[in-house]
Amino acid sequence: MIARGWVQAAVLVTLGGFFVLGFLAFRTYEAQPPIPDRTVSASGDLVFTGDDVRDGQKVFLRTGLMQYGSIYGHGAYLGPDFTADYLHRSATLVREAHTGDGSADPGERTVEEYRANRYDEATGTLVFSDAQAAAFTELTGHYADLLGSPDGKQGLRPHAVTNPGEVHDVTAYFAWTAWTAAAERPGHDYSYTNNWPSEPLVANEPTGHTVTWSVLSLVFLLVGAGALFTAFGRWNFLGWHHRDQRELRFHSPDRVRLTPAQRTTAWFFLVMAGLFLVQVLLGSAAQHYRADLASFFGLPLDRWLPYNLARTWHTQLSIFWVVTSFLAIGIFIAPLIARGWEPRGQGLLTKVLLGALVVVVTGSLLGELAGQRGWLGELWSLLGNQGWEYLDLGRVWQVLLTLGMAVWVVILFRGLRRRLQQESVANMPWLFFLAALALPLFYAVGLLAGPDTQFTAADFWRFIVVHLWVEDFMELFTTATVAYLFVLLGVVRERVALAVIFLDIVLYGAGGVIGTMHHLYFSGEPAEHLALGATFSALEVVPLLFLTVEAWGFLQIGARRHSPSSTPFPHRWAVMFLAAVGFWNFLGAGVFGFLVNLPIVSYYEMGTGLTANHAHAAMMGVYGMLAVGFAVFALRYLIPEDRWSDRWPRIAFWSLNLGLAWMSFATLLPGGALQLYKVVESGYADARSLGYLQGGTNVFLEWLRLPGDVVFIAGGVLPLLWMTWLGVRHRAGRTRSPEDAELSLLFTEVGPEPARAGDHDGDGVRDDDRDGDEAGDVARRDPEPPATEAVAP
Amino acid sequence: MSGEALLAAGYVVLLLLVAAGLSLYDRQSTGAWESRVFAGYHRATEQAPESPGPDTWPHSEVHRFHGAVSVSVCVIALVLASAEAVRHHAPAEIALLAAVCLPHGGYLAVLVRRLRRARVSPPR
Repeated sequence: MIARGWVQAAVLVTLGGFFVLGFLAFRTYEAQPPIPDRTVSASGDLVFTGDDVRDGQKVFLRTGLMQYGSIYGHGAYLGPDFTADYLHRSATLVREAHTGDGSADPGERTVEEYRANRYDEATGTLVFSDAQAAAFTELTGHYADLLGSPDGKQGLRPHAVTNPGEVHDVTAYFAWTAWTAAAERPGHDYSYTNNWPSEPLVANEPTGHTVTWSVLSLVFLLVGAGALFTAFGRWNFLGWHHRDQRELRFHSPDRVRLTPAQRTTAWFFLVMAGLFLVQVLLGSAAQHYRADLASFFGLPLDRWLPYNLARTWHTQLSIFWVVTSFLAIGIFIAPLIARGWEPRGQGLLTKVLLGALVVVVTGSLLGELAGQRGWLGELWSLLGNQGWEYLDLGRVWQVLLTLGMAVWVVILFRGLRRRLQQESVANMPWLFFLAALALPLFYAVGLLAGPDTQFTAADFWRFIVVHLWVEDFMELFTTATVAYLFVLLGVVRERVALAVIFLDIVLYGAGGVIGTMHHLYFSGEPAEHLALGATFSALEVVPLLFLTVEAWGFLQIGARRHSPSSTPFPHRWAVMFLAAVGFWNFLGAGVFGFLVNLPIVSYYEMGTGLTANHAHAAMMGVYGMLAVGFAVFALRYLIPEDRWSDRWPRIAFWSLNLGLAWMSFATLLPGGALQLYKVVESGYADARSLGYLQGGTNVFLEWLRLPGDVVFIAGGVLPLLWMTWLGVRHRAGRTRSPEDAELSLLFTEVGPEPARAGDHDGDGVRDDDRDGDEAGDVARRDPEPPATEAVAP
Repeated sequence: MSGEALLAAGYVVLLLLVAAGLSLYDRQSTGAWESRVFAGYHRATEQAPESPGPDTWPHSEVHRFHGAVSVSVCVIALVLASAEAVRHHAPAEIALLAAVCLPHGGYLAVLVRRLRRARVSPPR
């Protein structure tokens, strides 16, 4: 159905992207900062060992400190960035020591001590100056006070880390990351972290690479966008040749019989809405810590729900509820793709999957609580809290979640297999299935980041999940699903949808795969990650711009209002949620993402409120709205017509969007901009300190978020929960059995097309419909079927 | 004058530009066929799809969505300036905040009027 060139381009670009990604993975292991076997003072005293550093990382992960503060700017944003914090505090102490001992230029001497790389690879020994070693001892006491505070009131639970050995090890871990941030990489005049963080005390400032690749990536963005739009305007990529004058008749939702598996998805959507509600309530609790660290309206919240636990659950649930909706919509549309057929046992399998999902979600959340509290002993990383941000769940739960997604793929394959046997692998059923298959495969990559993995390598694999899984493969599944929904509704021709999916693969393959490296500019990776990440992630903005245009290409439903259908178009609010996805794709992912993407901006900005601004506007704005849109689409058929009201999705639509806009423009954007200014003015450690966050101006902005959050939760999430409850409570009664496949249409039918000038042979199919298929078709087929053939038996 | 009041006033002005930008975005046709990006399509197509027109759904409702976001940005600006005036209310600060709020108030009235007049024709 589609020209072979599309398929070849998609395969080549994807293979090329992953080849480069493989090379960068190899270079990550080759060039990551070494962990010295021993770190000793100039006097020969042992400061800490390599095992102390590795054990310190485990303490950091187990106690959920990555969901409190950060390392190399990656983690949570309430607590300090421990790399920058240790570097700043120790450099201050060293400088004071040199001032006290009468050095001629204590500042210069401090810089020399930090920038000189005194690590001997042959012996595995790193030598600290005596002043650096003394600073380590003093800072061990500081971190014992911070992490073991009996009062709480700093976002962690009281007595969070009190074991002296653990405090020593975690301080050694912070000290090691601070060393990598200032000591010059062998053969270069910049540190292992490309001179991150900004810290005048050790002369850390942006490297030439950081500036150069920022400028070049801007050039690539302009050239890429210009080239794409020029090419798009010049050639008719999508193969539209005429005004589409098909007549559509939408079936009333109550005439659509659902399969057992489709009916089960009502429970998925209820679970989704429940998880969404819990997620936003936890987000509110986490936000409260930023506005008032000391107490929750007089309650000592940090004893029961400390910030790091609230944020762990908040970020994990953001993935869980969105994925729940994606799983459900996949199951919901599989029988439609299979033209009404569903194998026996599919409903039971779907129920099993739902049960497994509930077990994994509940188990992993409880495991994170138990892991952070230290209740699981040596099993903390298996059953409890692995601690890598977004991959916090215990290893067993991580494996089970991956297996759950694999079971989902099996369910889809069972449902689609008859249709897949009849189709070319380059056609929509296969693309939909392959996009679904990619989800468990790439989520499983996160298993490569374990508690023993060195931070730089672990961050590489973590961002394969956080960025590549989300931005490329969830996007691909989204595009395939949304395109298919429109095809099933008869408003987009299958050939056009196919071209859009292939264009998506090519564009995201070109920018998104290697663009993943934009998260890793300053994580201990070599400079080529920075160069390639800056270049290709700038190009990522191109598909974001383009998909906004493309989205409007899809939304041509309005042009069909002349349709003689007696049934109203049933998906007004599902389409509006998709329109909101287009808006937030442009603003949240495109504009706010590009604001923080250039290496020179990221150097100062990383880990500030501007990152949170981009994250919320893109994750909720794009994937959140999509998940809700999918739910509204399916609920339209699950809730009987006499129980359905447009009021609930309308209230949810406006509340979610306006609440999100309020969150962004009232708090996250101005707060992030002020924090960025503070980084440039005073250095990164100062801008990330609790002292800065508790300052009057920041607290004022944090409180300003309250009205928007109330609207978002009360007006947005609660109506959605109510609708999903209606879906379960009043599920449409009639069930489609496998024998019914041949009996009824599903959603739409296409009326006879008016005879047209181009239709010389009078077969009802325009001659110009076929011309795109003449050369190089992958699957030679009869003339393109009207949309009804995609949904009708 | 406090630095915070100055920053708030500056941000309120920035929000005016954001609201105007969103409003401009809102006034663009969402009918993809009208975009110059589709010039190649127009050349290749004997009978280009007719323009959906701003009153057809979903374009009408999407325009209203963009307009409502613009309104919310103006409201945020006014709330922020008012809250800032409660925190810092020296005469000069009040004068500055009032001065940056005035155009927002005017623009908000225009946007609200435009929003109320906007006709949405949901699919029937």
